[in-house]
Amino acid sequence: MFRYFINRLVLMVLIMLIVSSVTFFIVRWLPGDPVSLWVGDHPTKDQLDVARENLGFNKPVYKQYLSFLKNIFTLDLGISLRTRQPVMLELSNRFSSTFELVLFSMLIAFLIGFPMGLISALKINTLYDYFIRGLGYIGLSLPVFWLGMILQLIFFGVLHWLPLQGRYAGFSFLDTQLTFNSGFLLIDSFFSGEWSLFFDGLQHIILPALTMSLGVLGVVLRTTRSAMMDTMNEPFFKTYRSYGFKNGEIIRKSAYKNTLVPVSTVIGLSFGLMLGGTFLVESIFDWPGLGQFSVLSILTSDFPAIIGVTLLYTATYVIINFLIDIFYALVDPRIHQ
Amino acid sequence: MHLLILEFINNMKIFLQKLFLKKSALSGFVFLCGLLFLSVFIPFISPYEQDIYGAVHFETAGQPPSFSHWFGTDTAGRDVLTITVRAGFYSLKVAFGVVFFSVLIGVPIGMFAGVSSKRIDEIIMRITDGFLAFPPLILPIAITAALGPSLNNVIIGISISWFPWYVRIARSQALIISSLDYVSISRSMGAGKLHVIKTHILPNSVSPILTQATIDAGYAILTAAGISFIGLGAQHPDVEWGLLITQSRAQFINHWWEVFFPGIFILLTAASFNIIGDELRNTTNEKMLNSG
Repeated sequence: MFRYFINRLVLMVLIMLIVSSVTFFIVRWLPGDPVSLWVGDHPTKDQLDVARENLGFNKPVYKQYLSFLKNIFTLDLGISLRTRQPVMLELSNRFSSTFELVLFSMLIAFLIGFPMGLISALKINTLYDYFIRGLGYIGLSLPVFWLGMILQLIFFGVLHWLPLQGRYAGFSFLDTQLTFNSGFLLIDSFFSGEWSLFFDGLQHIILPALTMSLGVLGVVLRTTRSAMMDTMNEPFFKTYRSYGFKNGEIIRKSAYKNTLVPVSTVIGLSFGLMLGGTFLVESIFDWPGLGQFSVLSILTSDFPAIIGVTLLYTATYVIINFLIDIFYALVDPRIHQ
Repeated sequence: MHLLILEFINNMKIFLQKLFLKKSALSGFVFLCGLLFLSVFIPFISPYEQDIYGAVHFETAGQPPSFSHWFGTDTAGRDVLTITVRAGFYSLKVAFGVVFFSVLIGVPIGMFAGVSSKRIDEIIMRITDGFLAFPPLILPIAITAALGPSLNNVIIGISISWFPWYVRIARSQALIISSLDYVSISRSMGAGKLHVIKTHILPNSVSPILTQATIDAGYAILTAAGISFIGLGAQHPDVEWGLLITQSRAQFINHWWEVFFPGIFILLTAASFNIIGDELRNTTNEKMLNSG
């Protein structure tokens, strides 16, 4: 077990190293000039040269690469050329806001998808089942940016129920004192008792979270449905049936637990995917998270920021996979042999 | 060789007949064929064919759907129906392009890894893992940005990010089939790696690869539309669904039709590929159950 653990850990570091190196070279290939981003509009040639010297872009690429590797091991990701803040600070500020969004949409997907999937397995091949399966296809085939705009159109444009974009309205921060500071707006305002800020944040998160949840909803639906159908073929289920219990009763009282393992695996995997898939939703809803930051960084060739973002994404992705593997190895001892 | 081809065609025919017994797969297929046909011939059908090439008519700008413009017109006065249908051509091109290049790169590498020694196999698979460790979207976006924004570069960017999946499928297929008795016998009689790949592995890998390719075609369209939406994909005056939607971002609250229709087309096309892929998988599974 211990050796398996160490093996996986080494592999994890190796993958991070590969990804960061690949990104380092792809980024150098981007068309824009990062130095002109740093010095601003209409620079003189001297200004450009001085900036290039200070930022170290005048050195040969292999030297830049070596110092880049050295900095990574001390967790120094440099300074964003666009915002002029340390990349580490930017990432930690934005990570919590993306994490909050993903967590919230996961919650929606699970709360809607799980019961619907169970019912779909129960009423197999009925109109309801077809409807649910159709919904699954739609969830997988919807362009998220389009869904986001359509929701904005309905809930902001026509009904005027929810705000268009952003994480909170600027004025709702007036006269608020957050005694709690975790970076998650909803949690902080809730525990600080700042109700107006809490409800404002809630109103702002609903549309982006709903948009993101639909893709996962399809996956949760399908997994629940097929897992439940497998469970219904098991001997224990048939035994209950022969005692005279109804299908719905058995599922409600006990059989739903058998679907929790595959469903939670899928949720864990989609969590990593969703964290890395917020680009479009965050751009539409002007959500100050990692996705928006990445898009802006790529569009402006902000080298340190792009590398930092990719590293953070890969780290989360690899860590989630690592945890799932370790979890499996603990549950099923055959795997690491 | 001729016999082999004839047999293959015959098998395909039975397979397709079975597949299209499923109404959902058939309707998906009909939709895709219709879209392909219309998008190719729309310049000859539509009275607004010059809109495809970026014509501007301010006198008809921003009209809601009406009898003369079924899907309305956009801010430049272009007929939304004409440009939306035409955009289907580019999206289908992306779908086929991505699948073609991913299979072309991925499958040979995977099969080679599957029949090679353990060490070579290990090296190939670790490199593949490195590609897959990138979060989705960020690698295609970065590659497209590096190559310069255009639809062809989107195809290259997505293919480079996705070919590792085909390496995996082809490799696992190669491993399964080369462990079968008749393959070991043919190897013991002196058949080389290339011969094993050509006569045994390749014909037996068609259906899992085809299934994956069909599903990926749908995702390729979604991804390409997303990249165009950010501004790194197709460029004006080309028409592409993601681009059409992003061009209407400033006024979509008042002009719903400019965003709604291209999106519906993306949805239907991606769903068609998805459904066909799913039924393809079910049909092959049934076939395996029946024969084994």
